[in-house]
Amino acid sequence: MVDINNVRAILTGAKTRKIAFTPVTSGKIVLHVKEAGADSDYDVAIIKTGLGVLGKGGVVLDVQAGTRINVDIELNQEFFGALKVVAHEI
Amino acid sequence: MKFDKYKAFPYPVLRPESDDYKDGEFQASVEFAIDKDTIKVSIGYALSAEEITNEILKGNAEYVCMISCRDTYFQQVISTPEKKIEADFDIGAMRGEVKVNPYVVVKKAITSFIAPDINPEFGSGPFQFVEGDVLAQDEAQVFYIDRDLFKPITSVFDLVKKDDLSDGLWTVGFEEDHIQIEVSQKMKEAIDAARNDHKKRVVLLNSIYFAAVMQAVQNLKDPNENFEGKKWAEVIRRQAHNKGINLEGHDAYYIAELLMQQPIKLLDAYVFKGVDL
Repeated sequence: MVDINNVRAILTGAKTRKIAFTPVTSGKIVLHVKEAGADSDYDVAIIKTGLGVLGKGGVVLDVQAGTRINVDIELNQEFFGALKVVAHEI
Repeated sequence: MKFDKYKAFPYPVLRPESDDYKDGEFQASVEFAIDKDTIKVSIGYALSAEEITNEILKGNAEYVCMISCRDTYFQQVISTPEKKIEADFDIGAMRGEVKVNPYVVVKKAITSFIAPDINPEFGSGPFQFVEGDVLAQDEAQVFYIDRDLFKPITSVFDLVKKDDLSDGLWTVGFEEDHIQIEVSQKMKEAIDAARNDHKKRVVLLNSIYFAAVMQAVQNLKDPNENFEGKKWAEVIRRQAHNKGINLEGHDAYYIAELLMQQPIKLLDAYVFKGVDL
């Protein structure tokens, strides 16, 4: 997992979110989102992205350390709760 | 809802490691104390976001602390509109690791919330919140509940006789579960007698015991020493943790002062000023 700061997942519709974060390192990453539960987190599929490409089970993005990323995504299901946003190096 | 910096709410939440709010802080200070039959918890809240404070004052939100203990399956939610609250629990309710998660939670729907500090990425508002939404969250705090951890730190010290010591010398052993303060037979008799007198006990606390606690802390700070499994080491480490003291962050003498609750104050009161008991 790679470190990202100031993560946001702002509700823009029943299935859509604006994801925002600031990467700590530069490079190619894959972004995943999970439903944040009380004790466990559950994977949610992303079916559309406004930035980067869908792949590796998430959104593949080229990021620069310290440069804010804003990406509009669509989930495969309606969800109104908190999301966990994680990034992995490719 | 555990604290996790990668977790994002669909609305702004005042919390550490996040700039949902550009300024403002929410912090909870939690203290546990144990007496014969009761575990007492005292919680204080500091909240610098005026708009959230106003919602609490209007009765739309409240401070909430969730206290949970895996070892005993204990879970309790303490809610209050006040900045300070105390609660008592049965002595058996908690044992071992106890987690405290502090929040400000919406009690009644808030239909038009505006705060200039909210990050513009959320838009200009106004924001709506429903019952159960989190307005602010502080990091989880972990405590260790064990009767021994709430006794004076000197409870893990034993005064023992060592025959080959001269009367004026004393040594300290760290190999047992309790720290052994070793003195000659004559000195042990003198100290045992002194321990029955409150003023003399204060002098002992500020001399032999203070030095021994300081040496114990110094040993725990030494990366080349290993006291794994020793009761005294566990008690000192966990008492320090519960008091928010980082063993690496201060000199041994200073940590000893904090662990022993500033024993010089007792010296001042009972010996220098001669308060009668």
